[in-house]
Amino acid sequence: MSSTSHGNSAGFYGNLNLSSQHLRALFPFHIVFDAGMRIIHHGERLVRLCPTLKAGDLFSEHFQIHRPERIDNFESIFRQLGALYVVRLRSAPTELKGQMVLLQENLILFLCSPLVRRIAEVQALGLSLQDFPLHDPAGDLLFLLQAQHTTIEEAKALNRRLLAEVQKVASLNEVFKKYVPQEFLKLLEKESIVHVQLGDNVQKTMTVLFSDIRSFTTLSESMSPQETFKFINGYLQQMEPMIGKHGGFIDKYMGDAIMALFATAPDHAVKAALDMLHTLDNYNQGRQRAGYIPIRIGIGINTGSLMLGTIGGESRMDSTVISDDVNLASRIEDLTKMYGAPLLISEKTFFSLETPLTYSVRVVGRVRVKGKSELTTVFEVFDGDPPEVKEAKRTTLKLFEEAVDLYNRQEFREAHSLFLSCFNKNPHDQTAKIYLERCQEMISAGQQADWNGITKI
Amino acid sequence: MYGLVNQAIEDLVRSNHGDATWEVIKQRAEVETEAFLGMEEYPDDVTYRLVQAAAEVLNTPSEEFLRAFGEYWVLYTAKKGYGEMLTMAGKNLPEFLQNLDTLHTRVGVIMPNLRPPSFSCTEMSEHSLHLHYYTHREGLAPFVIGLVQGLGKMFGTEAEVHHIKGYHTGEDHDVFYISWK
Repeated sequence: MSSTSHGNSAGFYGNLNLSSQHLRALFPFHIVFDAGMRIIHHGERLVRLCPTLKAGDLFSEHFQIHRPERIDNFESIFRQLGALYVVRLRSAPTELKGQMVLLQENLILFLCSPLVRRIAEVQALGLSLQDFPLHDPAGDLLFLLQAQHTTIEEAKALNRRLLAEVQKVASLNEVFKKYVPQEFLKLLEKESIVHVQLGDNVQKTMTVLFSDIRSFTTLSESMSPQETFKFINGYLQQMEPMIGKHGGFIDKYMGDAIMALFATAPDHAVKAALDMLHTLDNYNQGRQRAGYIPIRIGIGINTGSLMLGTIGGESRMDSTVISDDVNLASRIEDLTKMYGAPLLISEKTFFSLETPLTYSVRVVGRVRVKGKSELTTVFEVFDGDPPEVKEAKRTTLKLFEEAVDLYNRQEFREAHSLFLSCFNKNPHDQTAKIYLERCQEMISAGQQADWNGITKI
Repeated sequence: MYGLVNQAIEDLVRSNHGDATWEVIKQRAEVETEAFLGMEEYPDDVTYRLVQAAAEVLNTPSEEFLRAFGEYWVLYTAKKGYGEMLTMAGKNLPEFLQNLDTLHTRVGVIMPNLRPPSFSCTEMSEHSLHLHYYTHREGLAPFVIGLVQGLGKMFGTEAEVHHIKGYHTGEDHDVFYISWK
């Protein structure tokens, strides 16, 4: 029997029998009932919860034992005195939590207080914190639960802030990606731009593609600054996807010019260039429908060993590519004007092609690169030409290349005759036309010429 | 002190003087915390530095800032969800002041390292009392004055507070004469 723990130690501690007055003060929610489950007396505060409660009432009129289960009479309570009791009130939406204490053989004290989890519940019951005795931990529990609730709210608010910041950083990152290509970071073996430091560099064989709009300066003279930007952006939006489509990335824009890099086989750069020319055809059709003149572009491609890295000072840094081969690509692009051909590739690119036979290519000339003693052969890829022009160029390919060879050997009269024959067969061959004029000039200049016909770039 | 106190300073500055002012104060106080957590312990020094920096930045005596802060404290704790706790601690100003010690003891029970102040009321009459304030923290008497004024506002009671005894008069604690109508 659990009451034995109260023991008969009165001899040592003196008589500690509590008066009902003390009981009321200490336990304002208690209930004492007899063997017939009739309430003998109860705590005063309990009346706030149970207004009709009075001594003499049956326990079951006001209360129902919720836990332990299947406890409904004195006998069953007596058998489970050691349990924690939760008793429901019939008059209010609350429960009393506490323990049963056997006072006498036929008298049990239910020592309890209302089970409250929120301050609002206390108020809803018409109680105040002061109705709980100071020793009752209910007040502390409420405090603690409120503190917990507040802490969770704080955590939620911080989480919202964190989320907003993360989104901010993510969108910043998106913008950064547009300025510094992800491919560039990959080549530098950097996970994020954060890890990029001044002077980081890597050497790699790559193909460089340069493109430029013909006579852009003349074009832009007739446009306002807004119109110029609108025009350039309209054009670049068309071209940009062609680079990415073939695995390249744009290293930089310089006005209307594009410099793109391809870390894969140069075939991809050539395919991208052909797609650019094809896209330009469609773009020009739209321009012409809208009453604008069509634009023409030149593309130069070269392959070589490039150094990619970061340059700059303390406050301004940029990614860059350093190599003679970049300069050569740019100069080859320049040559497209001279040869009247939109797409030219260097011999290094040509000889690095994986499937050179799948393209329509012809030699258009040999040039001397500044600072280099050997001549470099430049090739035209003419798959972008209209079908009939392309076909005619294919037919005259041998003739044309022979003429170029003669020209290079300064046999201008013979060259002239072959170029003329090419031009007669294909009057759309701009390069043949240009060579004809140059042969003519060389023949007229005769022996006085201090120029051997080789273009220096 | 617990973060709730520093949060209240932050909230007071932000709502009365704007976010930018708070950033300036925080920087001046050399506080690097991004956000205070209510139930987290911070060195008392952080609070003192914040009060000092706020007074300098707002160009007001630190006693005046502390007083305003004491008044705001009542509002702030209510805003943070402890309002019902406050209303349950007393139905009117004198009743509340008499429960002030119990309230702080309860806070101390759940925040074991807080070392909250202790209060007692003497010389109680219908319209006045003496509030005794015991603390190991220095210089917070103006905060208590503001706190009582804030409570007066909460109860709609016009209250006057006079700091009648304290370290300045050679006592080991502060005593406030509080009167109301």
